[in-house]
Amino acid sequence: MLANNNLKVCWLLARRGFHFHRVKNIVLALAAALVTGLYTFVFLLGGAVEGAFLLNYQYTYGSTSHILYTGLTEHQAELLSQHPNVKSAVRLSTVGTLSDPMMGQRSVKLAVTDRDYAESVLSVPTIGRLPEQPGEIALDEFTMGSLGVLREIGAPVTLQWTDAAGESHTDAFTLCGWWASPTNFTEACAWISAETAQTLMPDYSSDTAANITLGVTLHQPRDLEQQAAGLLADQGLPELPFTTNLAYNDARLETADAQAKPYYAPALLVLVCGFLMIFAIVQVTAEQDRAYFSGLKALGFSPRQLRRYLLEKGAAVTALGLLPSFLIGFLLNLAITPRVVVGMDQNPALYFLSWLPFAVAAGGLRREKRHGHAAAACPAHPGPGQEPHRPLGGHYAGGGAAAHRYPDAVCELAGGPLPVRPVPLGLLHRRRFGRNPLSAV
Amino acid sequence: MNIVTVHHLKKYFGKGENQVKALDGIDLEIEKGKFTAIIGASGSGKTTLLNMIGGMDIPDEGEVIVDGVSLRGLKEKELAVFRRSKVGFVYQNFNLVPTLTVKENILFPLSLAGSTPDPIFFEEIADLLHLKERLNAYPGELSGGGQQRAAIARALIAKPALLLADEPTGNLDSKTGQNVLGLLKLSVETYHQTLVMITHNLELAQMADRVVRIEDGRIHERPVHEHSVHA
Repeated sequence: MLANNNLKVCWLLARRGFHFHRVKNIVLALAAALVTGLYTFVFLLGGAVEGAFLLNYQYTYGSTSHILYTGLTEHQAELLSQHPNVKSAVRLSTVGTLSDPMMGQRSVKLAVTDRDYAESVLSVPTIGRLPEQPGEIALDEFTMGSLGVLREIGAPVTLQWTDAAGESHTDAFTLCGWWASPTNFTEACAWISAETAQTLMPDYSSDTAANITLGVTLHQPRDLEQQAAGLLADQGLPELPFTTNLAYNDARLETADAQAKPYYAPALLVLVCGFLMIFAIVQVTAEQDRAYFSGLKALGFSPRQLRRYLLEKGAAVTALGLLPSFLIGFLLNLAITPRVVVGMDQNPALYFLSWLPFAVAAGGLRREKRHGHAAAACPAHPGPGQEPHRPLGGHYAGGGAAAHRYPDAVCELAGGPLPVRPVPLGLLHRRRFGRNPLSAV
Repeated sequence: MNIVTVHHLKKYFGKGENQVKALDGIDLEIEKGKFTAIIGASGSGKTTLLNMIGGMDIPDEGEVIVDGVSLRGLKEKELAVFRRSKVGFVYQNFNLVPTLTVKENILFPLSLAGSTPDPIFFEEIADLLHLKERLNAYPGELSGGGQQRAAIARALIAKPALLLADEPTGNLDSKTGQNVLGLLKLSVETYHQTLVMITHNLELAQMADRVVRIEDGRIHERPVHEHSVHA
């Protein structure tokens, strides 16, 4: 039998329908924008809270890397960086350790400038810059305070430091930048340029110098202790000292997740309200829509064409509401998140911004719309003694029974069981007549 | 030669005590090229029978054969294709797609299959049904009679073997109804099609070659020449 299914006609119907029912579709698009905007905001806020807890743990640890290996040679660092489990790695070449008595218990490494490593340990100068010229040095404010260094670019800095062999040195530098270090950091860095390091310790970069600290970020930050040991074993390296970031400890992750859960909870409210809102809007023309679908079926609209038509119709409304929704969510996030997550120099709404909440919100909207449309399109249950077309008010006497079978297809389009059975308000009830109309598609 | 054969057709709605026997064992044959009217009281099963013949619903028992094609066992997609090519529907409420022009409505069954229309045939139908001046109008801009003529044109465009009309004049005044039915009959005769029409109007039923009465889901044949028929 001839089985051509022209799908272009579906887009024509969807486009024309959008123009003809402009008010309803604009209202639907606004509802979609509002629902998605709220979803986006809830997920962004929850993500920011969770991220803030984890960042706080990272601050305590002193690094954003998952694992820190210390005392490596250049070759050993290279081998570890190449392991397949390693997503990225940052290196620190240490010349020595500041040993001024005013430093107290803090351990400040005299290290060669490496911007990547500096970012991972939150030690990038916010005033001035990292050292570029010989003789320059960048310090954190706590160390500057301990040593009585003036907060002026170009201020003289005299440091006492000890090299790996235990020999003590005193050298003069020029301050080129500084940053505010969290006071709970027991370790810090004092940055010098490579030329300066070469002058202070000519063999600091030799192959045998075991003065490299490697910060490793893994693809999967789970079971860090096991992974850290595994990396060494896999690369044929001896047991070298390492520490793992407590922020990625399972217990810490669970705690952060638990702390963030109350901020995700409003998503349930958005789900219910969003569904009811979209359902109510679609319900306004539900009777006409059912009759319309029956009529299309009578003309030979196949289940595949109907499905395509509904998808394109929904996509048009969703697309219209999606960008405004992301804007709503982003603006709400920008306004409210900084009031919830405090104590950061940067705006937490921007610091923790990611694409995932937007994608999840868009997925939530898609589900709401499909269920809302499908629930509203399901037919009324005929009472005893009534022919199936009667609940449609006899609008399409010839399409009554069809109205019952095709809205089954519409219900099926929701991709599974409807979220509400029976449908709210007790108005609608799904009923099957005969076979599943989509079984052949 | 029969174009429609219905064997022992049964259709029930509901269950248990609330079950309704819409069709309770219908046997019917409709001759090709003839105009058959189906009459009966509200709820007697007329529309259900029409839906079965048109492949819009599936019987609980029995079989429907239309133009040599048994509808039993056909899948939904196959039934949709069957309706496009073998059946033309004309409804009481016209059932035009409000977002398409008259011309697009008429060509809609062909559009669904991706077929190209025969321009000469299209011109003929538009001329026969007095629609040439209104092809670019939308259904909402037409009178009731104009909409029904457009619906008839749409039913004819795919040259179906069978035309099913459910109270085609129900929403029209008597004069317009007479005109429309006259055009419907003329079209059917011109293109050698078979017309099955549901109506409450006994005067219109008298225009048919054959009148079939349904009562409580069963057929009661009624001779055409008995003018003192009772509903």
